[in-house]
Amino acid sequence: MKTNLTLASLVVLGAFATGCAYRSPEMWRDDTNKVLEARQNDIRVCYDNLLKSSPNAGGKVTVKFEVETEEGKIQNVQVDPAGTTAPPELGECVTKNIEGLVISPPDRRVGQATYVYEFSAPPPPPAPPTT
Amino acid sequence: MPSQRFIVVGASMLLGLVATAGCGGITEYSGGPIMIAGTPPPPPPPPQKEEPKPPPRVELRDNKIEFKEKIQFEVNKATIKEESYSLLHDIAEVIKANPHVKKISIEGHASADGDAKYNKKLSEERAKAVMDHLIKKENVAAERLTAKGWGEEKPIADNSTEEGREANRRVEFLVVEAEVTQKKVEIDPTTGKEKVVEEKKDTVKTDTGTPTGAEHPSVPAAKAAAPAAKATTPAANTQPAEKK
Repeated sequence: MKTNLTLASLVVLGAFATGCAYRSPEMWRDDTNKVLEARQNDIRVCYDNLLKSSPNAGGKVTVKFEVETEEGKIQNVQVDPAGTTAPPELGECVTKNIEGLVISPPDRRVGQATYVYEFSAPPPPPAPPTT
Repeated sequence: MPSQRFIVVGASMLLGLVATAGCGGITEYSGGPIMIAGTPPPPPPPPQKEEPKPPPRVELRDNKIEFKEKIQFEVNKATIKEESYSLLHDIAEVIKANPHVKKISIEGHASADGDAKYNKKLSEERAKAVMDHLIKKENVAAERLTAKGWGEEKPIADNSTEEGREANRRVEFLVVEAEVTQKKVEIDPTTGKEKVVEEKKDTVKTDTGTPTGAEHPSVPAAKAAAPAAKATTPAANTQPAEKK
């Protein structure tokens, strides 16, 4: 009887341990942050390019996306207009840059994330005086 | 007992399945804000101050060919220094570019330094040297040029100062014959465009005087004048030197 109970406990524990491992929201945020960080420079380049034509461009871009369970790939990235104040070019830039990124290892549960990017730039330096 | 064991194991597995079934689903989370600090573009460079275009070296203005430089000659000679060849080339280009100018009088002048007769002769020879150069080296049509030497007769500055004397030593190019085209234009009421209804060409001649003028020897009419010019300067070689 004692053996049986031990065996049963092991099966239950094993089931929890192997089949049901998933990230907490905090873990999701940490892992996602690391992956998104890798693309920050590319997004900055987009922003800098936009600043050339619109020196005052800036604001927030809120994106919603999913992280699928097979490979941990970010997909269905969409700009949330309600939380976006930046020009559409920046929303497109963020979407393009984070779509397809992989958060490894994949999770048993789908991650559904909302991220906010804030774009800001100091005012351009004044033009040198003409001589 | 085997049946009891079976029940326990079965129940455990069922519990495991129930536990794993709860693994699916969605974890919602949010992150950010991720700060993206842009780099403002550098200010545009100040507009390049456009260098004022230097005035042309040689230009046709009113009734003369103007240039700031001087045609340089060997001292006391009518030999043009090589350094002035490019200036003469530019003068020739202006003459060729203005075919309406039919005749130009090349007029040599001297300062009051030295003997007046000698200066007149030298200025005439220098004017002729310039004319010859333009005809032979620059292919300016001979019939478009005449040469005169005024000596010290027409000063433009004070001969009592060195600056004044230097200014007086000069070669001038005066337009003495030019073709002027007069057009009578009407505006066509249907098209609104200008229409030339009458075109008249006139030749305007200017007389700059006759000191010891001579056309180039290649021009028949000039040949008769040449001996007269020579006759006015018989003792040229013995006269005091004109500096430039």
